[in-house]
Amino acid sequence: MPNEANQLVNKLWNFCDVLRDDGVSYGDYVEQLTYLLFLKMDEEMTEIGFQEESQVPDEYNWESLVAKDGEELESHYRATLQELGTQGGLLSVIFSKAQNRIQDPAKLRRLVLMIDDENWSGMEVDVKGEIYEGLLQKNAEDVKSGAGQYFTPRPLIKGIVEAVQPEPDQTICDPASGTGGFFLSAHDYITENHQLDKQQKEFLQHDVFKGWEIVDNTARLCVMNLYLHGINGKESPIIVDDSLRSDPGDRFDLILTNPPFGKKSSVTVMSTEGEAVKESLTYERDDFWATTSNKQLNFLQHVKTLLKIGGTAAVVVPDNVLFEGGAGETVRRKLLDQFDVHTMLRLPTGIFYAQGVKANVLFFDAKPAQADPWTDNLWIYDLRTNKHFTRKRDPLTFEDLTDFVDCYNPDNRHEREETERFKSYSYEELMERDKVNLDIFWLKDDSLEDIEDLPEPEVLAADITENLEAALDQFSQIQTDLMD
Amino acid sequence: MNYPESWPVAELQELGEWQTGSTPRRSNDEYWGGDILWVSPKDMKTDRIDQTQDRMTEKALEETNSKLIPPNSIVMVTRSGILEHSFPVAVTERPVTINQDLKAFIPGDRLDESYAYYYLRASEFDILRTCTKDGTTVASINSDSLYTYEMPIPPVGHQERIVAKIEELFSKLDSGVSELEESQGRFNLYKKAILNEALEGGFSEEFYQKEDVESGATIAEIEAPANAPELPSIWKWVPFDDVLSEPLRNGKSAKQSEEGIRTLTLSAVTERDFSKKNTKITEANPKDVEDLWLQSGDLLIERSNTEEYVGLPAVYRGDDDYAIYPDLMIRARLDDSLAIPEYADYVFLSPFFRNYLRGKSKGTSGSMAKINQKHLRNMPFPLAPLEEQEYIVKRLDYIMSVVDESQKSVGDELKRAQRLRQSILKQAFEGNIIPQEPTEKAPTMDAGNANLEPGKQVTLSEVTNDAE
Repeated sequence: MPNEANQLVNKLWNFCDVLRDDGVSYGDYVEQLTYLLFLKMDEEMTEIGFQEESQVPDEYNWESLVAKDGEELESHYRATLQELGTQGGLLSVIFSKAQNRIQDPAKLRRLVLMIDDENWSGMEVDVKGEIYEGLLQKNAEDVKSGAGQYFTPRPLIKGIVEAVQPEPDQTICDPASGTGGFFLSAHDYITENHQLDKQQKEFLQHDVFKGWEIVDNTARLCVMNLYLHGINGKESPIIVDDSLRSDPGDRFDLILTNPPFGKKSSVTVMSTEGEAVKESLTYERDDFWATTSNKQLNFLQHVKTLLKIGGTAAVVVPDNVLFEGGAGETVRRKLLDQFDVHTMLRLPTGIFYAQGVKANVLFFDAKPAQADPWTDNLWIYDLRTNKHFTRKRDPLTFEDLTDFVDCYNPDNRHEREETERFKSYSYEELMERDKVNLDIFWLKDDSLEDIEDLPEPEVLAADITENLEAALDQFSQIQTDLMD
Repeated sequence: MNYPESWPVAELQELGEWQTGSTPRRSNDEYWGGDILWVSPKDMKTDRIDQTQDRMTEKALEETNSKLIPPNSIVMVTRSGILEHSFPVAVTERPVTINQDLKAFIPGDRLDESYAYYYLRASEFDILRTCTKDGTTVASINSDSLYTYEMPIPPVGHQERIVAKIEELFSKLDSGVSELEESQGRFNLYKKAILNEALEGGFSEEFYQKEDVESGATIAEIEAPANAPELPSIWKWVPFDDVLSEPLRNGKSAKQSEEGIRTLTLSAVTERDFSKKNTKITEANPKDVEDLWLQSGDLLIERSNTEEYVGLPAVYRGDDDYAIYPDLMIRARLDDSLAIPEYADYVFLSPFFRNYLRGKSKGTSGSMAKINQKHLRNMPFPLAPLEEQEYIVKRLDYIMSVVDESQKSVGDELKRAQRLRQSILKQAFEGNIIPQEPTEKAPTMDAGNANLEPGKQVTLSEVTNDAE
């Protein structure tokens, strides 16, 4: 992060500590910043003529906020949030159900002035984008808010994007957008690697990206994140909805997504009327191969539907998608038959905010119908065995993924070579495996072998914790399943 | 089992075809070593049969009464000692023949083979209870009871859903179990790793933050053993002999007798348990053994055992003069101003010294690995200051107790997981896991056997094509 951006993040973040004494959580704070930043930037953009007309009614614009103080500021801010939530389009997504969490008018005033001090539109897109990303990352690290569940490690996203290499004329979708990490990384990749003409620039700004996000707050952060990175328009690129509900009919060239990992297959959510309702667990969809309550299997089936013929998907899936019997087996068979499932990256543990998550990235291409199976060879890259990451001490970096990207051979993925960590399995080999189990490893795990060169006790303890957490995860899934 | 009333019930003989097996003459070389799988009870350790230890030839198939059983049939052991506690069942993945201790069930149209397979597994104990024959030399299952054993048959679509659900739950269960099993192995490695670390002074830093200690021992330092861990500077490598208060001594073994002298057995050290069950009374001559009576704090080391156990230590903490120790142990009495027995115990337990002594034990004659007093006397011993030894022992005691307890509870959960497997099966067939779709009609039983098709006939060419 550039120094300038870093300083600003720290400044904004320090103020958060002040507010925390008033019971304002990290999440709340990032939300308030989102509202205020949006209003400030909207004002700036109108002033410099970047946009002809603001969507924000004059009486609720930035100037109106800066002009007020004390109780008056607080009540005006509240009214502003409420009003803008009803405006439709982009404003609705950003201000939907928005509430003021900063009750102390003096502190609210300080925050307003802090934001007013900076010229945000004058900053490079990267800089303000990074400031916001920086805040999101900090928010994700806040264990209490649980926001990390939606936060995919950025180096991993970059690695995936570098492998699939998005092109300027492709449409890109993330049906579980979170805070928009995949979009931003794809956006960066396209602008860094291509000279865009005017038309392509506009296409990139308005039409390339489309996403779904089920959680209001997260969708808001995502839209703002994209907005600050110059991906904007009157309409929101993010639809706030359960993307699994139905087939939207849209088809995309590239789908990059990390669907949420829940420990449980069922979630109780609050309805708008404030009653606890059980989220629908199974989706009866004609385009699905199997009906299941396994969310990740459903996302995988949703992604294959959204993919344009010739398009590529990269989906983060937990290990159970690879080994689960029943519906899982049906989905794996169909996917290998009807799609070209060419690459799987076995992710290391310790890189996600949720504990004990064992995950993989599946890469597959959509193909026209044919009688023969489309998958010839599945290439598996093992980034898990004997790799040890922790979020704080040894975080995953992009450098850890460069060997994978090289092996993937983005320029011509049909010419690949096996290495110690990269191995090819033929369609026939996969089909012969019991229940088409794709949970495949071949490297020796040093912390399982009783060899003279023992790993550090810390490493072993971490591995044991992971075993037990993974076991816990499986047993609690069985438990939930049996209770339904 | 209390399966739903709406499900019709049929006897197994109405639901498919049964076949019995045989063994082509063993002495005829032309019958054996072919391509045709021949299943015997020893192949039944898996739930899917795609290979067997013995294979017969096409000639055997033609010339004997062995019949080919198609893939997706169910084979089960009906005569074997194993039936005293379990009922092995498996699904065939390829055409097979079977021996006379097995029976094969070829499911008809109305039956999904996996459904039938899981039902038989769910009924394992009921079948063992109700169908086993009494009064035979080898436990066996009564054919008539088996053929008339009842099975509920919901619509095929529902059978498939039950199977899919069972397999989904079992795959999670398998994964959970393998994670737990993996952790068991890692717990053992963890104990080793933490011992190594302790001997490299891994706890020293935290210790010296609390205590200020000087090296008290005035013993001359010796050279470190090859590949030894680097000790903290305040520690010394000293000959083990130098920390003893009296010379090492081998024990004595004598014949067991009614009355006499209580003597430890080797398992007292192996199991680290000095209770009565690991002692015996021997007729040792009291005069010969008067120096061998145990005192609290004695460190006993196995001097001869298999390679896995040689050099294994244990500290005796009990009443003085409780017992003597046998010939296969060496006793070390430590100078309590220099070394704590429990510390020495951990030293001997650590992978580094286990390997060191194992190395010394090699090259001696006989099948047993042996070490002698000289090996021990000359063994470089990592001497930490006494207070730090105490600290290390306390820390290791704590860590080991936590690890042991965790390991034990993982073991308990593994057993519980097996119970869960049986319970899931039972629930599935009691209709509790998957509700039946209301639109589906159960097959009617009026037609009797009419809609049953006997299992597909398999041709020989299919078999040979299949075999590599």
